[in-house]
Amino acid sequence: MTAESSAATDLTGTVITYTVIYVPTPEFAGEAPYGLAVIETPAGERQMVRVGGVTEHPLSIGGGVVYDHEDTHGAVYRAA
Amino acid sequence: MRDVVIVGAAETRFGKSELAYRDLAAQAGRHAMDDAGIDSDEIEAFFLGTFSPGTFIHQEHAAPLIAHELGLAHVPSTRTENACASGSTAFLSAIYAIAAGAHDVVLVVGAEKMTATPVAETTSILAEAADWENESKVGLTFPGAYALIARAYMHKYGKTRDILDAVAIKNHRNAMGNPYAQFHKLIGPEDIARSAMVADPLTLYDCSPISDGAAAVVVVAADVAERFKRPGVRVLGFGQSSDSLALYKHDELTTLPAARRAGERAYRMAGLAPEDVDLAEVHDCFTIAEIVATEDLGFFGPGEGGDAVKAGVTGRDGRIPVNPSGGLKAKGHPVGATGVSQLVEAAFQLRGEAGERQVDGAEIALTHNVGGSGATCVVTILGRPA
Repeated sequence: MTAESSAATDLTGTVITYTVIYVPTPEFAGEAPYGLAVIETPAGERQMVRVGGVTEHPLSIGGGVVYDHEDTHGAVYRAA
Repeated sequence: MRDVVIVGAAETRFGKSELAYRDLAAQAGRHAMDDAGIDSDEIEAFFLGTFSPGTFIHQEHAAPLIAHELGLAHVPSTRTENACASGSTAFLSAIYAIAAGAHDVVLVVGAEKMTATPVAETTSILAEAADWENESKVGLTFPGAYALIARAYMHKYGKTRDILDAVAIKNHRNAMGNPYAQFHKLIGPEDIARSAMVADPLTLYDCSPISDGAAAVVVVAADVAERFKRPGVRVLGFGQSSDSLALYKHDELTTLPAARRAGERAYRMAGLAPEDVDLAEVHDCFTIAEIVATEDLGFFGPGEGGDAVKAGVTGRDGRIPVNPSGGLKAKGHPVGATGVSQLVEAAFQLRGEAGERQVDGAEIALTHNVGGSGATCVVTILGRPA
């Protein structure tokens, strides 16, 4: 399921593990630091998502994330 | 299977080199042939392990390029690419060729030239070894993938980053005795604490460096080995396994399932168990990777690998010395060269020629080489010359 193909507000997940990228590839040069989380969706599917605002709202294993918005690179989640 | 031995081994110094890609690769190849006491006209086939010369230095079709430099234009030359495991898959290709009876004497070179490329671009090139659609395009870097593993591991087993520090400190200490190593510099926890965050929780000192370098081995059928001046280091077992490129699709995130499978196959083929291994060169592209490797290979139980490093069990004089060469962390990690370099170190150790870093009485050595975040894993087990 992608952000485009579903009601965005339904997109949530539980954090399995996460990191915060400080040294990105050139494509993400203006974005760092940003979070990346392996999440499990309510349907039990795993995916990797980018998470914004992690400096103010840190990620934690077992915590939740929710879809926030779309930018040029794709979906951006935030810590729930 | 036809028995296979290594009769020649050599490598260049790792680090930032003035030499061009082809010259690095050729130097390692020539020195390995010198070590075996043979000329290029005795080589029957050539395999090159290399990751991405096309993007690093605009050079694809690299196997015949290097073969020609080595005076091997007359033999079949083939490149293998399995990301950071390219070198050991070149080695396995040589074994298959010999086992099949197609050739008796094969040269294997692993090489990469990385420092001529800007660092940001290198980050991008390495990310191409991950699942582009599902990972790299979403913003994952190679350190980021191992940071996901580190975070999951520390959470699951209740560990703190002192286990990561212990790996970096040990491997820098080991590299002091390795003339081929990129770093000859002792580090302590205070250096790590001061170093820049790359992908939380991994800092610069958790990461293997960007390196140039090459390594080579001459691999021959045991039934023709007598004609070489060097005693043959015996290939006792090997295993290779694969997994999803995307880390999040792995069955577990605190282990590399493909490394476990590769190790099990290698042990079964060799008829050996983890406790029989005298030293291991493992793929510590990041500090957490060494800890996970030592658990996947059965040296320690799940969650115990980090404490073992802290307790000195994996030190050069410990029960199971891990990365006496300094590992990728301190010896350096020219991607395509690494798997072959591990075999070179194992050969030096088993021939008793490892100098200051010699593991006393080494009879059985294991190498563990990983591509990406575990999508390709190769384990080999080598024995001291008979």
